[in-house]
Amino acid sequence: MPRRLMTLALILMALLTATLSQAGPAAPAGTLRIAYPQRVVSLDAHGSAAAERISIIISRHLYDTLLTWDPQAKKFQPALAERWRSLDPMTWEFQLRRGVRFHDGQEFTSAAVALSIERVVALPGPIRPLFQPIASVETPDPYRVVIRTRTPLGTLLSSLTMLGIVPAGTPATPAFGDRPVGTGPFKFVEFIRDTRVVLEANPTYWRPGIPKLQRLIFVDIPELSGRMTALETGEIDMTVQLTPEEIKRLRGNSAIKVDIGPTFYTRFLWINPSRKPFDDVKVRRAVQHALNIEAITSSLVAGIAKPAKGPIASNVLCAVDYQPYGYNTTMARRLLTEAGHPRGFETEMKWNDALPREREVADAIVGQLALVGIRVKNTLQPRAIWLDDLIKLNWDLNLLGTGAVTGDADYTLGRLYHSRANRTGYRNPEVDTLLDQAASTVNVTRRCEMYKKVQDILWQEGPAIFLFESLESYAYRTRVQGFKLPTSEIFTLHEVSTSP
Amino acid sequence: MARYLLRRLLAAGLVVWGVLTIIFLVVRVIPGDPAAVLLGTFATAELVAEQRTKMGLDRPLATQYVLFIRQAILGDWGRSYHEGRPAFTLVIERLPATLELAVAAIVTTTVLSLVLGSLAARRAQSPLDRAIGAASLLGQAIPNFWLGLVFILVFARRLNWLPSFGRETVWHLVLPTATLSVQLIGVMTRLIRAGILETMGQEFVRTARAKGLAEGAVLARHVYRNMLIPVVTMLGLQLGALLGGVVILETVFAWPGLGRLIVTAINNRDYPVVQAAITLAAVIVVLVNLLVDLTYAYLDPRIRYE
Repeated sequence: MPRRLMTLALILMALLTATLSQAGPAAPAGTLRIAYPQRVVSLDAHGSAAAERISIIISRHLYDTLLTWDPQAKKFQPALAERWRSLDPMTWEFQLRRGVRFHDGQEFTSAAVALSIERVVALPGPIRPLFQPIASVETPDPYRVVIRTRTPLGTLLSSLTMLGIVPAGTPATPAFGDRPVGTGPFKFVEFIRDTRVVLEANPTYWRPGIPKLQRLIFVDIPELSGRMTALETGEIDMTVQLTPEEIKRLRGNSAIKVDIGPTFYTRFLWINPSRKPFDDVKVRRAVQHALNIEAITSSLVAGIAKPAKGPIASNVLCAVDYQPYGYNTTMARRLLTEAGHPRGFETEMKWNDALPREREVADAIVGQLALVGIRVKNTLQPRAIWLDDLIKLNWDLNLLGTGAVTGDADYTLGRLYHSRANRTGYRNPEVDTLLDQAASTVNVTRRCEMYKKVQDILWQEGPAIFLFESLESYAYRTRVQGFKLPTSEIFTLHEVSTSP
Repeated sequence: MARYLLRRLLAAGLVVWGVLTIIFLVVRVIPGDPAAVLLGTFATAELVAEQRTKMGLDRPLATQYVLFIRQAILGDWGRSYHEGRPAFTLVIERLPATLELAVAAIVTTTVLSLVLGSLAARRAQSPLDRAIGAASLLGQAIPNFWLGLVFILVFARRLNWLPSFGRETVWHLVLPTATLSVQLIGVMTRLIRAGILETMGQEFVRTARAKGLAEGAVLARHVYRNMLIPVVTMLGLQLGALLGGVVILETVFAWPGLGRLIVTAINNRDYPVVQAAITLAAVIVVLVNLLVDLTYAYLDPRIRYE
């Protein structure tokens, strides 16, 4: 009996090994499989997942917006809206593109725009506040939309670059996120949670020659090592967000190309001025001078970040570049002495391991601050607890980052540094006034002047130490052609093709 | 028999209720506010408070508990905070993937450990026996998430024989199943070897041989049947450990099962999903162990349930 069993087992094993070499199938030409590090929760362009990076990226393939922001030309470009103008500071008129159809065959008209704005306001979520100042949306004819705002709204155009247009009649329920319909270059095929999202080319897309791919598959692989293996075995064609080591290693692989591009994302160390001794600006400046950001960047985050030049990333609308504070421990000690802390003090830094290399960066900060006498308790927290403390301002120092999702300065500055937001414990009536004025100014040049003043103050008064501007890395197999570096971490594959 | 079954079912019900209560308390005792996680870094303290009210988390714990038990009995597990869909549906959707992995691991373990255990027992004290013994010990000692990574490195990255992630063809099942089975095979092989050796020394085996039965028949009818009870018991108990191992391995292999759902739900403090998933896992373990108890009578007709 055991002998017979063993023979059976041996035969099975032999069969197994004989057919094993069939594994690792390459995708047919025209198909691209990409693994993104973030989990897809919903494909809805509105609602609770709408500001998640992966949701925005997939949305750029499924939906169109009225207009897009072009950081290189520093201007808005037409998309579903062909022209727009401001009738008065509170009224905007948009002329819509004709002959565009949704994936389900419906024609795109002004009713879809009106519904999309109503829907994004009806669904609770992070981008809802961007559209709440809208008072009414009128549709005088199928190709004309008039948007009236309660007060002059300088951010309207930037916000509209975030609004995916869905068909008229779409209910304001999360179920739409399981079977989305848009006008974008790709149509929805399949969404299996924690497995994949499959899209296929929209053959009647209004931009000629786009998309070049027939099929686009977002594959879910939660572990970085898993993504690297799948890329090297050819099970996927592309992935993003590599570590410095992986960038180095993959550059030695001739089958894989690595590109590094800019983002809208800034990483910083927040200082809570509502707590002692950080209420003293000298102490905050001492922290600035105590950190050697150049050294941290080159040794820990090379290839995934560069030293920040200001409170917002360089490609964001109205960003200003500043001279770095400069690493100077003597100056830091002097400032501490002037502030009455000649022997330094004890404090705590809280953070959550959400950003690449955050652990090493945290260790470096703690080490460098110790050199000037600031003894920091290094506290890593699980995300749920960290968020809880962050919102309650229950911290001295907090290590985190944020992206200007809309590409507009207001998204970061207005959302985080206005005392109404109460995010950092920093209160400055001048900053509040400037932010309010800028948000209600329609003229971009004038808005940028005000944001410049805000950035000057933030840079000098330092409720935050702006550490890095994140970089995004893209690794793809050589069969992927035509990938152009995007101006932010939000990329599209509209013009990418694949060979067999 | 009917009375025994009824008693066991009642006991099973008590165990499930206990699990429900513990999991209800545990998710609420660990720090971290689900409302804050849901709203993310965009939230303000006011928004979080509003969201807590919407979720019913501002009510006293006792009220929440009574509501939770009542709804659970009515089959309503609430909606996932993050996905807005019924928690029970989310869990049921994931069950097949995890069961597939668990069944594959149990079958592989049963077959391989029977073969290895029998070989070791038949050639007791031989170099083969010692080799199998050492391998079993090693198998038991290796943590399976590490083994999973090594398997991926060797069989997917280096040799390119097997897919490294996902759940599509039967080949995708091979590495996770192998990883999950190694520890179990280690345990079961030693148990089977010991069982066979012990049973072989029994008088009824000598009698069977004495009456001229072929060795194969002696083994099949007398030895295996008599040593199966501890083996089946152990397999039933190991199922719990197996479900625990799946939680980690599903992340390593990007396997879209219950384990990954639970990990995500815990990180998000998605109470309804955690509660539904853990309860379902507990129900499965309880039912399998009940089934194991019921097979005793089949394996050994002398056993009667009273």
